Amino acid sequence: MTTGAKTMTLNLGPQHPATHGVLRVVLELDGETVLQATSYLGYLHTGIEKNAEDKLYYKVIPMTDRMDYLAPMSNNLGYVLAVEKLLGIEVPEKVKYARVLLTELTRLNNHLVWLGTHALDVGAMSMLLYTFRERELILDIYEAVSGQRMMSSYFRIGGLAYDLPIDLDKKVKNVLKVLPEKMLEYENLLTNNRIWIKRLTGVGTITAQQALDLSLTGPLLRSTGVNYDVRKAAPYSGYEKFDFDVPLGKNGDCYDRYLIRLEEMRQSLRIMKQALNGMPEGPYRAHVPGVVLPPKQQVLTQMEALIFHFKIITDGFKVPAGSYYQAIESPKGELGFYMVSDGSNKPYRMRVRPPSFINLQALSPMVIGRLVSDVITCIGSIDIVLGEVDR
Amino acid sequence: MGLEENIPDSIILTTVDYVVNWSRKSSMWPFGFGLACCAIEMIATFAAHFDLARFGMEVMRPSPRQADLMIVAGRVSNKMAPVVKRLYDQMPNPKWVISMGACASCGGIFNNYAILQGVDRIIPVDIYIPGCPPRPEQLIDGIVRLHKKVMTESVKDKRETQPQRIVSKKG
Amino acid sequence: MGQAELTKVEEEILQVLQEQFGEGITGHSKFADQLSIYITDDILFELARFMKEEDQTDFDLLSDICGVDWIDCPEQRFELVYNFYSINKNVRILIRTTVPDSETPSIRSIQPVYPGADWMEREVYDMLGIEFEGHPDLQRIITPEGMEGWPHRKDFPLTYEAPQFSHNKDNPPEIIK
Repeated sequence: MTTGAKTMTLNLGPQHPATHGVLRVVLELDGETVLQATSYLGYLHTGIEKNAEDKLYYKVIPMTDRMDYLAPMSNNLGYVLAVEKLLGIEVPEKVKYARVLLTELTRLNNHLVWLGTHALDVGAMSMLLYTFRERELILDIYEAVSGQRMMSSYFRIGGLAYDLPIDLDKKVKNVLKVLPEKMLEYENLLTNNRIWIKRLTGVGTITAQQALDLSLTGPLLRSTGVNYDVRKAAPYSGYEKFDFDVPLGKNGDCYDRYLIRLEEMRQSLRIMKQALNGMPEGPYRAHVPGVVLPPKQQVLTQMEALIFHFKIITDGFKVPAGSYYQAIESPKGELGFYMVSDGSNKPYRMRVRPPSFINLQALSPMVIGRLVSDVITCIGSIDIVLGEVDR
Repeated sequence: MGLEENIPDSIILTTVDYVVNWSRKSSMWPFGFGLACCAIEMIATFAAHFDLARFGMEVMRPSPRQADLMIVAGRVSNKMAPVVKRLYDQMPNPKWVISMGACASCGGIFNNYAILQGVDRIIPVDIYIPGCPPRPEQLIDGIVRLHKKVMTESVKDKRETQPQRIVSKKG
Repeated sequence: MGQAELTKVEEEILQVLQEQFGEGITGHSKFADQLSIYITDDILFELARFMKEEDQTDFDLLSDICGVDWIDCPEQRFELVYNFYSINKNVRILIRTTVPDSETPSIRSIQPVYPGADWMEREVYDMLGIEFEGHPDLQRIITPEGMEGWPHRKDFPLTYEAPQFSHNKDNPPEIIK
C-alpha cells in the first residue's frame, strides 16, 4: 500500500545486530513499505583469495576456515578436494568416512547457529540460548579431533591432520542421542507457534524460475521445489554410499526454509549414524611421498621420512599445472573452489564460489513491496555469513 | 579506637574512587557489535553455557550511545575501519575497548591490502586477547582483567581517546 | 595432463555448440570429470543465451564467473571462466574466454540472460578491472570507496606493510611498495 507521500531512506547497518555481521542495506521506504533495497558489501573484505596466492598449498587450509566461520570443515573439505583432484590423490576409505561425519556435524553446527540467530531476530530470544547450549556438544567434538573449538583446520591434502580420537565414538553417539530430543523441543517452541508462523509464512517468497535465474543454491533453491543437492548430483568424498533424503519445499517462503533446514539436520544425524557405524579401520593419510606428511613415528626413526617431512614443511609440494572446479554442498549451498595451478608450489589463483554472496542477491526481490520487519526475517532466512560474502 | 567505632551501623566509609569504579565494573554494558569469527565466540560467551551474566554483563546494547565496553571481535577491514572509529566516538565516556582475537590485535594471519593491521591504529585498546578465535574462557579472563584494571583507575584520571601507536600512511 | 574421454551428454552438447557457433568455438579439453570449452569473446553473449534457452543445452544455473590474470601473456591476459550447470542433465561445463590487456579491458555482460551474473560480474570488475558492457549497474562492490587499483591483478601488491616483530617493534612499519 502506498500513500503517495515522500519516500524515506533508511540505512540498516553495517553495525546492526540483525544483519548477522556487517552487512549494510539501504532501504527506500514509503511509510513501512520497502520500495527498494540495495546491499552494500565489503565491510569484512579479507582478501583471502589474493592472500592464498602467496601461501604454500597446505598453508591455505587455515585461511579457508575463516571464510564461512560457522561451517569451517565444509570449507576445508572443498579446498582439499580441489587440490587432491589436481594432484590425482585418492584418499583412504577411513578418511572419506571421517570427512563425511565431520562435515555433517558442521551442517548441524551451522543450522543450530542459524536457528538461534534467526529466531532471535524474529523475536524468540530463548532459542539462541538453547541452540548455543547444544552447539557446545558439537564444538567439544571439534576440539577432540583438532584441538580447536571453532577453526578446526582438520582436513589435510591427502588425509587428516591426526588420527581420530579414541573416544570420538562416545561423543558422537551422545550428539546422536541428545539432538533429536532437543529438536523436538525446538519444534514445540516454534513450528506451531502462531507468531512464528505469521512472521514467516508467505514472507520472502521466491519462485523456482527466479531462484534459478539468480543462481541460488542450497536450502534457498530447494525451498522452491528444485531438487539440486551437490551431494546427490555429483557425489564427493563417498557420499554415494550414504542413504539420505533431500527435503524439498513448495512455497519458497521463509517458513519452508525453516522446515527444510530442520529436516536437513535430521538427515545429517542419519548420515552421521551411518558414517560412524561404517567407519573402516585403516590409515588416516594417503601414502604419497613428497606430498603427504609421513607418519610421525617414521619421521623420528627413518632418514627418508625426516627428509620428506622437512621438504614438505619448508618448500611445500608442486602441483601439476591445470585447473579444477570442485563443488560441495556446504550448509548454505553450493560451495565451489576453483583452483588454478601453474605447476609451482603455490596456487596461481584460488577462486571461491561463495554460496552466501550469491544467495544474498535474492534479498532485493524478496523484500520489495514488503514491510521493514520482513527485511530482518529475510536476511535471517537467507542464512548469510559475512566472512564468506566478502572473503 | 578510631573514628569507625563511633559511627552507626548504617554508615560505611569508603573512597569515591572505589565506589565509582566498583559500580562501573559491576554492571558494564558491552556493545553488541560483532565483526567476524570472534563474534560467534562472543555470542557463545553471552549464551547459556558460559553465561556472562555472572559478571553483570548480560545486557548487550545494540546502540553505542548506551554502551561502555566495546569488544572488537574480529578482523577490521579498511572499509570497516572508519565505521569502527565512528562507533567508538559515539560511545559516552568512560569507555573501554577489548581487542578480541589475533586479527583485531595485529591483523592475525591476514597481512594484506584489505585488513587493518591492528585496531589499535584507530582506537585505544585496554585489553588484548590472543587466540584465533579466543575461547570463551579467554574472553572471560580478559573481561575479569579489565574489571581489575577499572578498579585501579581514579575519577581524576584523564582518559585517552586517541591511539598511542603510529598510524602509517598507506601507499 | 591426459585428456579424459567425453561422456555422451558432453559430446552432444559440444556438437550442438560447434554447429551453432562454428569458428567461435576454438577448442575443448577435459580434465578429470570436467569439460572446458574455449570460445572467442565476441560470441559469449549469444552462447550464453543459447545455452540457457535451447532445450538441447538447457543450462539453467550459472554457477560462477571467475577471472584469472595471466600477466605473462598480454594478448590473452584475462581469462574468464563461466561455470554453467544443468540441473536436468546433471552436467557442468566451464566456458573459457580471454580478454586482451588494455587500458579498459571489456567484454559483453551476460546479466540480461542470467540475472544472477549481476554481482558476479561486479566482483570480477572490482577485483580485476574488466568492464562488462551492458551491465545495468557496474560499480565496485567489495573494495572501499576511493580504492585505486585492482586487487586480484598480479601486479597489485599483496600488502603494504612489513609485519612487526620484537626486533623492529620500535620503528614505524616500513612500506614495502
